[in-house]
Amino acid sequence: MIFLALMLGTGLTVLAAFYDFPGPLNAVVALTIACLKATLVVLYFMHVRYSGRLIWLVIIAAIFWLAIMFAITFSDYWTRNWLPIS
Amino acid sequence: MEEFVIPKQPGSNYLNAEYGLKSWLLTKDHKRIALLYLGAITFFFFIGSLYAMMIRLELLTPQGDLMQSSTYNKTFTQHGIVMVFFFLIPAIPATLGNFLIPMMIGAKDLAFPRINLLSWYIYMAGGIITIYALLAGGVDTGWTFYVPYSTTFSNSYVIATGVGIFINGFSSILTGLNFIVTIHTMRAPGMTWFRMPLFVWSHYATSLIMILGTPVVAITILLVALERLAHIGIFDPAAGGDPVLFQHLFWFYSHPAVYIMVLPAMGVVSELIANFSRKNIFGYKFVAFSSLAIAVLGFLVWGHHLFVASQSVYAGMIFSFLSFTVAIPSAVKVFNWTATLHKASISYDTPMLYGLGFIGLFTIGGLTGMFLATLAVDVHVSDTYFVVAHFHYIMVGGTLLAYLGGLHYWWPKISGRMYPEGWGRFSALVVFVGFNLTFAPQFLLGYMGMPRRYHTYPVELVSWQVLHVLSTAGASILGVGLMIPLIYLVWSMRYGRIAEANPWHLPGLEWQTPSPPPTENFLTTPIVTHEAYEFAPPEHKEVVGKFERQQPAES
Amino acid sequence: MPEGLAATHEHASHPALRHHFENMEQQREAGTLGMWVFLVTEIMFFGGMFLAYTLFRYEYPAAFVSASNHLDIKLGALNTGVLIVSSFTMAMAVYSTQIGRQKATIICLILTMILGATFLGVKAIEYHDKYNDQLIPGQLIPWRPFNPEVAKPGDTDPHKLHLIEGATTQNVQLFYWIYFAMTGMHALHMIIGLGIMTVILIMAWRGKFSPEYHAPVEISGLYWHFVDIIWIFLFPLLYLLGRHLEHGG
Repeated sequence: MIFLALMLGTGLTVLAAFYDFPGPLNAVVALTIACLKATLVVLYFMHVRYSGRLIWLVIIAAIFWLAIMFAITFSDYWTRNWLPIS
Repeated sequence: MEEFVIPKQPGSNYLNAEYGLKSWLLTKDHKRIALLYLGAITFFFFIGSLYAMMIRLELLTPQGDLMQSSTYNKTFTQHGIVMVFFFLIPAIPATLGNFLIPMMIGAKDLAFPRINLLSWYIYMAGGIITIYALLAGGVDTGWTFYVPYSTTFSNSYVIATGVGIFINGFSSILTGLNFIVTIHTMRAPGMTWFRMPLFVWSHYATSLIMILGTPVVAITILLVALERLAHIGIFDPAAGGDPVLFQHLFWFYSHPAVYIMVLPAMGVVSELIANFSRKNIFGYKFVAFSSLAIAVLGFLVWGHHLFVASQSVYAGMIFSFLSFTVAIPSAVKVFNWTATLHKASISYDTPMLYGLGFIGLFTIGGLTGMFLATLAVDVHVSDTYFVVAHFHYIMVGGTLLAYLGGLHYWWPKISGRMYPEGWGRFSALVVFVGFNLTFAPQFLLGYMGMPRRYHTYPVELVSWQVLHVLSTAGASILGVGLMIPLIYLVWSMRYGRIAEANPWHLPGLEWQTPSPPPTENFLTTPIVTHEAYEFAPPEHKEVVGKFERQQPAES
Repeated sequence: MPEGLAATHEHASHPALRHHFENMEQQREAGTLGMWVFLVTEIMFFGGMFLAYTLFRYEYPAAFVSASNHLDIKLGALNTGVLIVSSFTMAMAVYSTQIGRQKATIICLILTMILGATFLGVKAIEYHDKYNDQLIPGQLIPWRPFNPEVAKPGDTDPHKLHLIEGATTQNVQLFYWIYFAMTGMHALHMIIGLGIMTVILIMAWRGKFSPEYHAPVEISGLYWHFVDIIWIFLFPLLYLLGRHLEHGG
């Protein structure tokens, strides 16, 4: 338990230190670390690692739905300039 | 079929277990909460209908002679808001769902009874705030609150209405949460997922949508309110914002919302069709999975409301294709219901009339949805009366009819009385005729180009006026047809024939308990040993391969 | 065959067992599932704002970087640390209840609440700084509208806005709008969380929890961890956008 707390703590410091990456990689690194930290909180602090399949299903469904909202909305914004519309 | 023996008990049921206003307002009994909702929902339906009447009266003549355009804007906006948020979305889940789901799965109550009561209070709070906004001056943005009009230019009570709807959304979320947890954790022994009535399956799917979609519209309304207060520009193009972002966020909920409106109705119809044809639903698993499929696919199609809103054409194509796929599970259900009717022993009682009406009208509404999903056709009919007719076929011809059918079907269980059957059938017919007369002309009007949300139309187009007059005449007939059940249902609560526990002689779990039920639903916890809609006695079932075929009883 | 009858057996039921549940296990399962379903709604709620953020960052990268750089990274990092430790103390509180150590539970709950309050305090300091620099968007504060001083090239005053190339003040305002909406909503959830913790603390003080009955602590813990997770995502997205450009911009 304590071990995990330290892990998360270091994750945090690493994140803050990593602000010297070039270009878009910066965002990727920051978000990946955030995801990792969130995963640890979910699995261990929220006991999901030891929970039944139903809880896993609920979490996966939530992430999936969030992904749908992002992905299809972006399908609009990223393709707007593909066709020159007068 | 062996009748389950109801032990005689001294007439104590949920209605007379306790008396007094406090026992109703502080109740934790899901059945009483369902009745609280029933009263509130009927009230809001009445208000929404008044607005509808004003709309139809104005459109009798081509000129804008009944009201100014600004007043008309408020009228159709408020008609939409009250009907969508305060009637259609909660109607079946909060009344029939609340009442029946615990009974259908053999539970004593929902998982969180106090949260259930809270959701009613939240609904009332949202409703009162919205009514305040309507009385204080109304809102004129359309129920869809499109920006930048709603954030920047409208001088009406957008924020107050928004707050009312925002609060009301939590009612929806809590109901959905309650249903999901109840269905997962409180089924009686032996009640496996595939023995549950389809009514429960469809409410489960509806609850998924409520949970996943409502928060998004909540945040959207919040953003609109903040924008109106602070004038920053998240949706204002002049300030770098994007009005289409609003439409994406709004419709991400509002399209699945229409499935919140129709899935419970489909659940009711499954019950009506199976029970009034005394036959197991054809393809039970297909219908169950179709409910889930509609819930999932319904979240992928919102962009079909943005086809003409400068959304990317490529995104439009994706949404058009996905919109076609969402029709498939709905069609599966319609085919399964029809197959259930084949060679069945159909009794044309009032609930069945409503159920049959649903199938026909929902099919028409759904097919016209296919026209709208076609990009090129949509360019022509978007924002015309074609769209208006399409969604009214589904919402009125579909949801309202199913709601009435369910109300009649379960009325003996809810009130312990039978409604007068003759009047029931008569008003069902009046509703059906009135409804079609109201909305069928609107398809033609829309196709010919009559825009929606306009209160005037060209005097020269006589055919348009003819159609509008027909539509208003139909609306009057529909109104009469809806008043009649209101009268006789209230009448029956005191003077109706007293109903026995199982007046329709059906195998469902909710019919195996007295009418009206005791507060804890069942006198003893049921143990479920057979499938849903089991009409034939087990000794008459023949196992062929892995399918069981029910033979009629030999006598 | 007719439905079987199962006699509802009388058994010594736990005082916290609600009448519509058959046993404590069912009650606990229902409560936990209920909280998870509620968290799903919260994910979608915040998700809408994350979507708006992502879209506008994509549209106006320069403005977002400039605005992000203006936020105090030390305070943000401090807050992140505070919340993570508070999640840890919360998990310890749950663990203590599970093994029946009432005193440890109470201490852990109080620590969690202190850390939560610290977070809110730091947030208040940050908001005050924004107020001073006139960065509160639009007319939200009518007597102090959005009107930050833009730094000239070479000026290193931290209270002035340093715009990198391509950024406009108008778009910076958009960033702050989102910043306040998201952190404000998050702070509101923290306050609600503190309220929940107060109730749980009172219950723990009164000795209501035991190894057989600790579901409310678990369920509150789930809520608390979730609020922490939201911040775990907010911090990099709002504070760390373009720090690598800080010294060059």
